[in-house]
Amino acid sequence: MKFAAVLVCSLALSSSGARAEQLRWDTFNGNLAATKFADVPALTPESVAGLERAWEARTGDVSDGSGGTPATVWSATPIYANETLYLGTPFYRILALDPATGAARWSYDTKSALQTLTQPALKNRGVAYWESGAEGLCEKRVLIGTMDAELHAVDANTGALCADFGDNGILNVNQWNETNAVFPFSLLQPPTVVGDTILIGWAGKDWEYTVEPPGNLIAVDARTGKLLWDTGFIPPEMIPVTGTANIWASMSVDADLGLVYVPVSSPSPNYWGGLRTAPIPLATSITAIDIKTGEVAWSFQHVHHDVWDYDTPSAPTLFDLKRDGQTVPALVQTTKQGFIFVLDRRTGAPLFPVEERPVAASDAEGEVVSPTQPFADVPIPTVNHTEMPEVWALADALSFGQCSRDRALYRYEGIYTPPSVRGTFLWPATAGGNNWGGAAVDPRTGILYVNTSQVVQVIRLIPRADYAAEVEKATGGGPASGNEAGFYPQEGSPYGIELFEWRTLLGLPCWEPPFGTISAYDLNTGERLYERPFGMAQQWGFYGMRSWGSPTLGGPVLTSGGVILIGASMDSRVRALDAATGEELWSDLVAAPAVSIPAVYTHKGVDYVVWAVGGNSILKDEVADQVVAYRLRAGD
Amino acid sequence: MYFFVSFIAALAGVVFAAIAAFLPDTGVDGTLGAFLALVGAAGLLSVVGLLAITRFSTFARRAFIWIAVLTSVLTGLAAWFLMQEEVLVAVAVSILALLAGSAVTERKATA
Repeated sequence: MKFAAVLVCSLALSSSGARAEQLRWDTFNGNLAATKFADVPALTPESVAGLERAWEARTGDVSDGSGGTPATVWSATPIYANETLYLGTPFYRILALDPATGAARWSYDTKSALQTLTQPALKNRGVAYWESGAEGLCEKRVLIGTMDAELHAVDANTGALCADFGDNGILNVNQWNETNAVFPFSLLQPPTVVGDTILIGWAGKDWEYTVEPPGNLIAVDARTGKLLWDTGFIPPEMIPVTGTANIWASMSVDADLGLVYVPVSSPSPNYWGGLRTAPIPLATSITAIDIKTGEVAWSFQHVHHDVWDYDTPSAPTLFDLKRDGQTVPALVQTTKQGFIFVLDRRTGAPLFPVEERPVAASDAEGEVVSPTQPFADVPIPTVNHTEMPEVWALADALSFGQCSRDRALYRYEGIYTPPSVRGTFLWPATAGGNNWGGAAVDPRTGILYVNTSQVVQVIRLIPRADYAAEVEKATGGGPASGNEAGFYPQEGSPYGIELFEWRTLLGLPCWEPPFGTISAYDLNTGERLYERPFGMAQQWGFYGMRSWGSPTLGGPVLTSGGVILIGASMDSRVRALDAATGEELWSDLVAAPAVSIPAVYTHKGVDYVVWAVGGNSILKDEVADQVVAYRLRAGD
Repeated sequence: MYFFVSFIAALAGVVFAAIAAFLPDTGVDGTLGAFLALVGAAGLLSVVGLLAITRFSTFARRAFIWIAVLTSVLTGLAAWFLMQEEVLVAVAVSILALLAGSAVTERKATA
């Protein structure tokens, strides 16, 4: 009798507690709130050791730059929608794959010229997906952008161009690039789709010019490609002397409030602002824009007069903050500087104190930096910018004191020390801190998980009169040959730049490890729950110690079972971590650093985790075209 | 017997190091570190081979053994930091077998 009662209770529990499933992963961040949260309870710290490869595919769209094709970098999030897995490639093709086997269903080639018009490499961060709700040809669409500013819309079932969109399926976004058009609007980040509206940001050519296209957000109709509105971020009077303040990263959306939250980058030129000393309030900001009208609802500028290229690098993540028994609609923005800004997403008001503090002045010709910058001590920044890391004794000894000499040579007076002719330490580095991978947030608890690079760079302003000679001395070539050696012209300003990581001649970092960390924060209280080294750095093939960690690019996904899934590290591993502690539970070697965000989905009752593995030269010179899917072993 | 084991293990080290250096997706393929490990493993194989087939004076023999020890330690270290455990194990087995074989040979000579 007792046994029967237990059995009945068990059956009742199992039927009422229906298995949760992640039936869509249809944006760069998994969902429009950018939580990167997958409702997959089966992936737990206990089960995740049973992850095994379900399938692997190679796209063929890869180049290391040694032949006639430029090198590729690839950080696409696979999109799971319409019971199909969609990927964009760095050769600007769309691949539609069977989610369970990786078998190709169809592919579409934009036939975009494989030229590095704005980027140092061919680059793609994936595709976007739209559906009307009706059935029929092109009622479900996949969208891919190209470096030369075309947005292609194809039928999600067949890969055929949708003739009613743009010009026979291709929208020339460069038609709206009318001012200071020194480069095309490169569409590398997939656009954001909200209802029947497509929101388009673009990438430009960093560090090259002073006067560039002014940053904007373009909204077009999802069916026709017709322009709905175009909101600019540079005040009209400043457009003749600057540019960018664009949106190159992903965005998030609160459909109920009717707002899109956009990460606005820094204005040009990136490392000297002597011509743009008047305020540009929307630059380097988190800005909320009305989706219907394009009007700016509010904006929070987190770097004033940015001369560090501290672009807002990722979509803010939306969550509900619990405080004093109240629920506050909030967003959290991780930044290159390591600050974590938590704002009321209705108004932009900070939910933890943000204080304007004095920062160092510039000694560069014509430069007038902001006397203060916003600081947020809670949550504790992901990068300890109150003091630079110590010189690493090992590197210093092996370099016969080079690191110590550098430390005395270059300028550093805290975060926001301006670039200088003498050379200035960039701590955190211009790639962060935190970058396009952003953070994952558990919407049930408000706990944030984020990977962070702990990297020191040096930025040096080079007077225009000396620039060509310095590049020639370093490279043996003309001014145009300097990029790979770290030289960039900032044409139109009195200074070119040299930017490099602070390393010894043998390539060892001069600063003390860790070089990368993973951390968790309770966003309700601002408390940091843990911070620990993450991944392994690699030089010449040799792996660093685990306690040193690795710089990272790419982001985490959190499962409802309490597991963090993340690639991102230099050592070409994908990993599963215990979300409660950050401890590594499982890893697998892949073909290159997985600098993307994985897709997590449930297809026909089976949970899958899929990474696009493409590499990025910011981490190391290793590229790949691998798509690798994992599932739990049967029985796990 | 010891020298045969040492030689086979050193040969295996070369094969494993070559796989790490040349096959794709090993995590270290094409890197300077992997090529250094390969050179080290090949060096160890050469020394073990020489010792197996050539009659040296005691002094020269001991010198070669010390070279083999040094080579194996450096190669093993490289393999450790390359996370190529197979190379590390092969090199370790090779040098241990070589040392054991040398000890036995010297004892016989002394007796």
